[in-house]
Amino acid sequence: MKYLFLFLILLVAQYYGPWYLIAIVPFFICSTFQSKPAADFLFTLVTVFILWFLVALFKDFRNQSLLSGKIAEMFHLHSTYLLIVVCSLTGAVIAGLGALSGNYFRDLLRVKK
Amino acid sequence: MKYARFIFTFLLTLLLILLLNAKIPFLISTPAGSLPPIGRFVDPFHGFWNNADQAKIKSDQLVKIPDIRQAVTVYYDQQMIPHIFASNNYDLYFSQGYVTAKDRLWQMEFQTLAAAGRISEVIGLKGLNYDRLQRRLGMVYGAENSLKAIMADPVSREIVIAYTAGINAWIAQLKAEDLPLEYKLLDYKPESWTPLKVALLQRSLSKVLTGETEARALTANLHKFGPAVINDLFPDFKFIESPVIPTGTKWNFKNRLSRVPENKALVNNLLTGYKTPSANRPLPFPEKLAALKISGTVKTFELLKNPDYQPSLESSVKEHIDGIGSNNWAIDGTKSADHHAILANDPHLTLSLPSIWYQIQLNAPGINVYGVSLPGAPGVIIGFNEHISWGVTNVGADVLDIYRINWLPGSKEKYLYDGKLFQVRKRKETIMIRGGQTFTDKVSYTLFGPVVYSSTDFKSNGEQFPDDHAIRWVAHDSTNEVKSSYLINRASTYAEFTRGLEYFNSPAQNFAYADDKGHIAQWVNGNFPIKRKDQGRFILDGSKKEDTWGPFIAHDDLPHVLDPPRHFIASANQSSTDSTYPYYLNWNFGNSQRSMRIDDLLTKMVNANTDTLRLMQTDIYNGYASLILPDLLKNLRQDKLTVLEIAAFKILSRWNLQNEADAISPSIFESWAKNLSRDIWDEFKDPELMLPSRDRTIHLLLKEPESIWFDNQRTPIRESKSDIINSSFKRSIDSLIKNNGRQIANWKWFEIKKTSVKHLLNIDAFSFENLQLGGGSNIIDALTARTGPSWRMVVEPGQTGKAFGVYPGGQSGNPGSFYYDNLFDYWLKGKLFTLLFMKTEADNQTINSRMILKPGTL
Repeated sequence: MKYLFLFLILLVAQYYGPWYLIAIVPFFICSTFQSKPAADFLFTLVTVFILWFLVALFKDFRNQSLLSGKIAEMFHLHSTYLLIVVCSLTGAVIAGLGALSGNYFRDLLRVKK
Repeated sequence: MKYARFIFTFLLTLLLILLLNAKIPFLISTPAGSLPPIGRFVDPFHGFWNNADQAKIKSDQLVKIPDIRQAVTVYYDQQMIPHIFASNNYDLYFSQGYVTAKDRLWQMEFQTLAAAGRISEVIGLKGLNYDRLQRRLGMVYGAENSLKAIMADPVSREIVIAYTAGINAWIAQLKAEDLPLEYKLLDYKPESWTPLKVALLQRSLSKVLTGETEARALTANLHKFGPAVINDLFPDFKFIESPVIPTGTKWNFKNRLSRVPENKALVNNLLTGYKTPSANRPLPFPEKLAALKISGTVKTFELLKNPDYQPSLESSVKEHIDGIGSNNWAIDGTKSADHHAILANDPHLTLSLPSIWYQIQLNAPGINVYGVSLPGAPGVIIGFNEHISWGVTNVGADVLDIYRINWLPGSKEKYLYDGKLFQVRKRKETIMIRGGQTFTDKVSYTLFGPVVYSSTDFKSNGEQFPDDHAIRWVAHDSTNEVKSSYLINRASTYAEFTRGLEYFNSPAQNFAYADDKGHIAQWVNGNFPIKRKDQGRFILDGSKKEDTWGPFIAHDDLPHVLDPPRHFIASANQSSTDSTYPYYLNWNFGNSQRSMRIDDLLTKMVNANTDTLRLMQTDIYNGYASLILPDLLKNLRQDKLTVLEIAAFKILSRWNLQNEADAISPSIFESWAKNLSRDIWDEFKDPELMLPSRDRTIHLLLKEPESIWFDNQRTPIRESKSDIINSSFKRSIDSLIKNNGRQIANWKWFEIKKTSVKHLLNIDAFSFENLQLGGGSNIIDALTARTGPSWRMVVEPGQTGKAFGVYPGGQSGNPGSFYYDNLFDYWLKGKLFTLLFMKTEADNQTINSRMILKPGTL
């Protein structure tokens, strides 16, 4: 539920804001709602991976992989799907780290009490 | 522990974000320079994914624009070529700016940044030398002068202002995520367009087409070999050729000035005052003159207005790469099947993507024109309207000259000219470098023009101008080519067309013309200074009044011909005229084989139609081989050849002289001809010297078999012509084996020639490489490694549905668009698209979509 919430918030936030919202939004969500650190990291990672993967896939489909083929070649990746996976993973890892930071931050506040 | 793990994770996240949000020059190098900001670039919401255009074109669009006057309709046809219908001139050129920016913003801005010497702002320090050279060449100075002329004329002023406003209207609504891909790759943003950029773009064309001179190299030749040899090997006219304006054309001069007397002292002066080209010995400076008062700082501009001053700059518009060039020709009704005139043009340039040209139709009261435009310049450069059609090739006249300046000893600020002292004017050039640094250059301007290379702070490294010499170049003058496009685009008769030509001054072009009345014409058109014979062939003396340029040749007196008795006109960068034309234009025009072939085909042509001319544009007959190959083969001593060499010999003997893409013979011949020329002219191998032309080599081979030049300087014996032919053949086969293996079947011409059309940033993924194309240098279809037909057009003026064209690429500049390269396939196959010329808005049955621009706020 928390991650579905995250998914929806990011979907909207990303339309208007810069790319690094994928770390900032999970930071706040995970410092507000408690979970295990590993769960926050992993599930956020998966959530953002799916978000970026789907959006990229949609745009790639409309473009019939014309551009992604060229960008893949530029980055020495051999397939457009590999490119989409690598792109999505980049965002996902950053998001996961943002979530983990948020989780640890919440921990810190609790100790202070 | 808890603190530590938080701080660690938090800092790691922050670091990664910062890293992926910035351009990282030190990590991996891509052809574009360095990696784009990865996070931003791969973000599927705003990054490169946003440039992945849909395959399906959006349907009709309505756009509200504040500063347009009345509604404009833009019809996009099946190739996404815009057909603009406006109700006044302002809206017409506004819309041209708007739609061009929509498709080509990055290209047009990047090219004008490059022209202005501002590439360092984008790519950092590695652009600095390029930028300095651009500034020191006076590119911005020339553009500013040109802008003055454009703005002084109310017509061109309105056009440029409207065009600029149109581009800026596009930029204003552009969101960061919709920026062209290259901005995201290089991580910068577009700035506002300005009228100066229009002038800069035209000046960069002048640089490509007129920015070279052989004066330095030929002067070095002169010092090494003396005047007799140079006059023999570097003649003013080829031994056989067919000039642009046919031999026998009468020169009807209205404004002929008395000819500048021939200066016999010129060569002698050079030999005494300029003993060694590398040592750069200063001229003897009369001591008592040094005491004279400085005559004051004189701006070049003031001097140009002074009638006593004879501006003396000659530029040899010699094309840099041997064989780059262009073709235009037209036949009159006696040669065509339906008795109408037909015109063809294919300008050859260094092929690049986004495509050099942008097709467009412009319609408003008084104008309905179709053709190709340069992204960044208003109007149509090559094209047709309801009555006329025109096409261009480069003239290659000498409009850039080098002057040795007689500096005051110990100074590079004061110099002697015509017995008087002058002080240079300093022009400050500030170059901003990405990252915050600034570099300031102070460029010295003499009476002639800028001092490009300087022994104190910008040393020449064997480039075409020596240190501390000044250049005089027509591209620095105040000219208004915008007005020319305006008039030509609207012309419906020959008289109106020639009025437009008066404004087209640089880069000088051969303008082919054909109209619906069946007239055909050719003009060698542009600013050509009046010179004495051979003035500017060598480095000129900047202290002598007689070495400065005369006024420009009056427009009526330019070489031209209307409806010649041979029933066709043609140009292919060859000599403009034969030796009867009273003014000197240049000694070094393009080699004659391409134009001879064109003349040959057109002379024989009967019952032609547009398709006949289309096929002729892709003619790949090797005129050079036809002249020398029989003689070369005859001289080969077959008993001395290896098995492989005999196989190569046999292939060549059976050759049909066509440079076909997958033929082997062109590979062998071209390699052989190149080695042969180097071996014959081994005396000229020093990089500061220049080799005699291909035409001169042909003459030597065919008419001077006993010549001393066949001797190889490095051997004690005296080689004969036959020795050199044999040794160069063996050497060519050796190098083909070395580079392509022992399998002769792998020596296919296209694989050796490797024609590529590259993206402006040299990104392979956005380029087309090693294309399966025939042709070659000095062949009608002049496809070399990087150069070739940038636009092919065939038009039967006035006849509906008889206009055809293609260029390599597509209308869109976006590598993520289906219209980036959709015209490419036709271009490769030598096919042409039928161009949609809408006579009225009702001719819109085959259009794809429309965009309506309406006054109003967003």
